[in-house]
Amino acid sequence: MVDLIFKTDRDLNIIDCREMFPPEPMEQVLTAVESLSGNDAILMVHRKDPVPLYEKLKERNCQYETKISDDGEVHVLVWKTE
Amino acid sequence: MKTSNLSLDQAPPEDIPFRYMITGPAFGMLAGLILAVFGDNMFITAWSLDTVALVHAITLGWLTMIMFGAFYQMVPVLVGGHVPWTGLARGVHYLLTAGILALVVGLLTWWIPLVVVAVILLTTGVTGFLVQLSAALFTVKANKPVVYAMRISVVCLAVTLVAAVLMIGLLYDWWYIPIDRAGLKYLHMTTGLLGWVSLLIIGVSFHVVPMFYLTQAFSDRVAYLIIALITLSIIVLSTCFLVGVDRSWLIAAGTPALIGLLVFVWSILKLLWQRQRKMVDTTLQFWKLGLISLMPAVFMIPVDLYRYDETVGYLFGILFLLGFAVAITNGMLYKIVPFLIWLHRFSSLVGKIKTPSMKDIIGDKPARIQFYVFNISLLTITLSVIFDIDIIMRTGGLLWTVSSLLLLIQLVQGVRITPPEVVETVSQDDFAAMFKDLPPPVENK
Repeated sequence: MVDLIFKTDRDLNIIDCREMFPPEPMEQVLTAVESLSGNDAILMVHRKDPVPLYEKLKERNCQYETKISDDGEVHVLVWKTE
Repeated sequence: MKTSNLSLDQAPPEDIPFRYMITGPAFGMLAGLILAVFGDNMFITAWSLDTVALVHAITLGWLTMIMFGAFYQMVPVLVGGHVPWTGLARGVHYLLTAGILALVVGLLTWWIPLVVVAVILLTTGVTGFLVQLSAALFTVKANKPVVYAMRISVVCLAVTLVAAVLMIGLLYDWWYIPIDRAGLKYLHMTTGLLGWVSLLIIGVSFHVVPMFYLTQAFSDRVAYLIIALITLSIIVLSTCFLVGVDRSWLIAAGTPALIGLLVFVWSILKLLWQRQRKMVDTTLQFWKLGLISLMPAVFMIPVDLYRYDETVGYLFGILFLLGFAVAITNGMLYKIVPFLIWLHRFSSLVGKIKTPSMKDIIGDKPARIQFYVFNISLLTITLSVIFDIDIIMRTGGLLWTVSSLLLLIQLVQGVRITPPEVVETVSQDDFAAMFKDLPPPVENK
């Protein structure tokens, strides 16, 4: 169960990485990015700040925003640059 | 709720962590060979230069080498620190490698000019590292325990270096200072082992254990407690060694660290025990071996101080250095190196080709074989010290050489993997965009 931190009008593809071993979270998000378009966005839910992912998102013309909940859960919203 | 303040923009090129992490096992081979060649001559007295050479092949050659690689990689990524002059890390690696070789050979052959060269090379290399990492760690916002652990670890490395240089100067009559050489030696060992080595391993484990083994997060409160207890002991013990006090005071001064280390072992074992997905791989076995070895090791120090039995001191060295620090760093290499290979070489290809898993880059089966060889070598060396049997000690040394060689081969094979060439395909939209500015074709009349 994921409590959403972000308020967004975009259609969300939620990828829950909390039980994934590295580098599966990055693999899943980057695979999903390939089919990202229009008003879609990916919401990555993770236990750690996925720092290595950010550079890869920039390479793929994606924008992202990261918020960390009070209990340390990390939510990363990813969308394609127009 | 807060926002992320980390960035990978300053992460070093892949060759920087790799060069350190591959050189470490090569020095492991050298340390094993020294033991195989010299046998129980290594354990006549802890003051022997041969023993000092062996110890530094491990502490500098294996541990410091891998820890430098880990610092250069993790400080930007884990704590968001900007390490200046990244390319300098390559120079530091050359200086460190040459310096360790010169030190080990110089001490084994008693050739003073080589020891002088080693001191110059190592002091220059380590100072370069200290300047870079201090600039990164002391300018970053200290908002988590690992930052404090890394800062104290780096300060301890500086003290360890100064104590070492002063000690060598006293040994060879280069200068005179009113500090007892034995006091300097114990100061050097305390800041080196308890500060530099332990605090880095402990600080990094607060993050890598939950990350790689999917445990609950390490409690910040417990993490700060462990760091505080160990730091308190380092400060009090260092003062005691410089002013010279009775042994019972040393046991009291070391007690907070002993408690801190045991709390650390208990906390990590508890996290591993309580994890949801109980996947067991060889790296986890290395972790368990390391934690289990640390428990008897921490009790060896007060026993040694109480009884003054050199065998107990040697057992501490073997269990702490090989059993704890080498085992854990060995296990982490199997996680960090394939992860970095995947990150640097394959992550850009996700969605274009089927990328390999970490197990495809460095397999678990050869790692398991190496783990068994390492265990047998650790057991053999430990038994040979207890029963003082030369041939078993030499066998143990040889087995550790084989163990390090097996690790080295796997790391080199992993690093030599290159991604396949991917032909970029052009999408229909991009293809149309290429022609959008062309004038329309002239109609045939």
